[in-house]
Amino acid sequence: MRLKILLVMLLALWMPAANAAKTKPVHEIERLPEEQEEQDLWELASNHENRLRNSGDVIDDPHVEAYLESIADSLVGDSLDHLGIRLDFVVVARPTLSAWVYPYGTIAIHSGLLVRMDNEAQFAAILAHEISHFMQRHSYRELVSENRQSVLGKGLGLLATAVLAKETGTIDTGLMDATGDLWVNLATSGYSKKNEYTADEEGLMLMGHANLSRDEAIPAFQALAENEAYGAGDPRQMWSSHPKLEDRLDNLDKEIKKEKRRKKTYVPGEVPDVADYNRGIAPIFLVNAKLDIAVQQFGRARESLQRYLTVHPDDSEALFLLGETYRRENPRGPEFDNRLNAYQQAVDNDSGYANAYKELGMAYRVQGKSAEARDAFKHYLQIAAEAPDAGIIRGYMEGL
Amino acid sequence: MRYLLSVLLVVVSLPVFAADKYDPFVVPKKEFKQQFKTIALAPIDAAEYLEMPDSAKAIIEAEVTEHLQKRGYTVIPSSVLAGIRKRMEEQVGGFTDAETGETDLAKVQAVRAHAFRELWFKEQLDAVATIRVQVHQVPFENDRVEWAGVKQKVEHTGRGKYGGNIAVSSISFAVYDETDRMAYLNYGGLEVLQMRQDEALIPLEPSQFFLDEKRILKATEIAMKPI
Repeated sequence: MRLKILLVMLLALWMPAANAAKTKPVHEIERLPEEQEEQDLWELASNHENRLRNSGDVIDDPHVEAYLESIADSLVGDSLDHLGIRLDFVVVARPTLSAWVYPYGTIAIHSGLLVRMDNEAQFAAILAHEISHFMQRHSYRELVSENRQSVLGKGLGLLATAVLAKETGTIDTGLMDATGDLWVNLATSGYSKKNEYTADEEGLMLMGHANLSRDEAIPAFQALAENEAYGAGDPRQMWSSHPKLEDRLDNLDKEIKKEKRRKKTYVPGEVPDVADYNRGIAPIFLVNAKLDIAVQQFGRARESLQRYLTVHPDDSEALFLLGETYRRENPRGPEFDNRLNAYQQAVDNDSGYANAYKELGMAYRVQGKSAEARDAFKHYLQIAAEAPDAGIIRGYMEGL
Repeated sequence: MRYLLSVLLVVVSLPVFAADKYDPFVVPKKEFKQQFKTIALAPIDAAEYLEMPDSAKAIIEAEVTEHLQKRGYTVIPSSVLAGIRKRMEEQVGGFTDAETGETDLAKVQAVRAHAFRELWFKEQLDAVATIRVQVHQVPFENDRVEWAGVKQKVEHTGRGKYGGNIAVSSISFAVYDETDRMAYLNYGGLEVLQMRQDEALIPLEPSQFFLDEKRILKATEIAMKPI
């Protein structure tokens, strides 16, 4: 009996290494998933994706998704056609900078990451990295790798879950819950250093094929350090976690320089007009600005709103929110002009925008400008006489 | 030892206090002392089912005020914000919806938001402090529980030693600046909210809460001590 257990253990140790050795990239195979084990992995990932989609945190905007898919198409060309796979996206309403890929090619991306990219080439750098993880089937490789300990137990947790699901013939959602955001953890910090570097290098290659400037990869990855502002602590705990961000940047820099030395074949690539990117993801700027305001990242919110306003200069909600960033950053002044201008523009564009009138009134009241405050409050009450705070506003007016 | 699971009450997460790693200061302590000289207290907030008596609230506020004043802070009592809230509640015509008889949460929210803004407008202050009695689930072993700086016994009937997760309460003290950014948050363990009856955990009656003044003072002191 002991011998039998030992043999099973030895087989279990040998099997993953054997599987890892024969895991080919997607362009070298005819169908996905290849093995039952990979199928199990897909089901686990799909379970996580479904939970994410049902969380209420997903921004469902077909225009944005179509735009992101068009960038993905330009990176992969026709290399996935034989598998019948088209890369698609889940945009998650979170202000932090994070992205990961599910093993079947769906890419999840935080709104915070989208808005921090300066242009399409920068976003493509992040995207190409994730696509490379997919094309190299890195999550499956990590699962079957003999070195899976390198992913700090996250891969092992995944393995245990996958094995259980396989043995029972079911996907145990309870266990998925117990393992937490398994996919986010694995896909954002679980890949081995080797696989991360491979994805970095192949990502640059994809950018080159799409005629995008690879130099933009550096600021794109540098932006990940902004996670610190959100209390995410060491940014290495986030998307950039393994290996260290600085090492990644060094490696990227080295690869870009290597490419540039190939003078005969090197094509610098383009940086598409920032206006295209701003147009493509415009609604995300607005959503993320609200998230940034909620976590007191007023400067970041303002930057998003200003980029949104380049696309929709008359949008009253964006103008109102812009005013809110100034107010909430410095509620009692002494500087009031920026917020007053923003609120005023909001009501100039939409005379029914009640909250902008209210905040105009509140700002004038703090400044001691009674007549202006009374006038703004009057407008507010004309529009929102039944608002929950209408009585309070009347109280303010009486005191002016 | 056998393990029991507690399944009751709404709970909030409790920071990890292990190995004294928890730092209640969100902004550096030195900066905190420089930035905040006058602190306004918000009325004490407790989960409704705890049925917190006014006498317990008075004990906590007096202790908090004394602690802050001893350390050189000027304290604006919670009665100031309570007065603003009361006036605003009247201005919105009360919180009860005349048609449905239910609480109008939009009005509650409106009063809450405006009252804080009015406090900042009317008073010269640098920070607002909230004091809450919160409920947590924490692990216990051998009918003893340790959390947020206190150790207490789990009252029980029946033989044996048990462990698992149990509901407890804590006093939290938080300080916010003008932009609503948290500058300080700390907890002091107050009391166990359940007892063990053989192999089951059962909730204690609200009438059994807030009876021990020493515990109330100790919980407040723990929450305030770093300031």
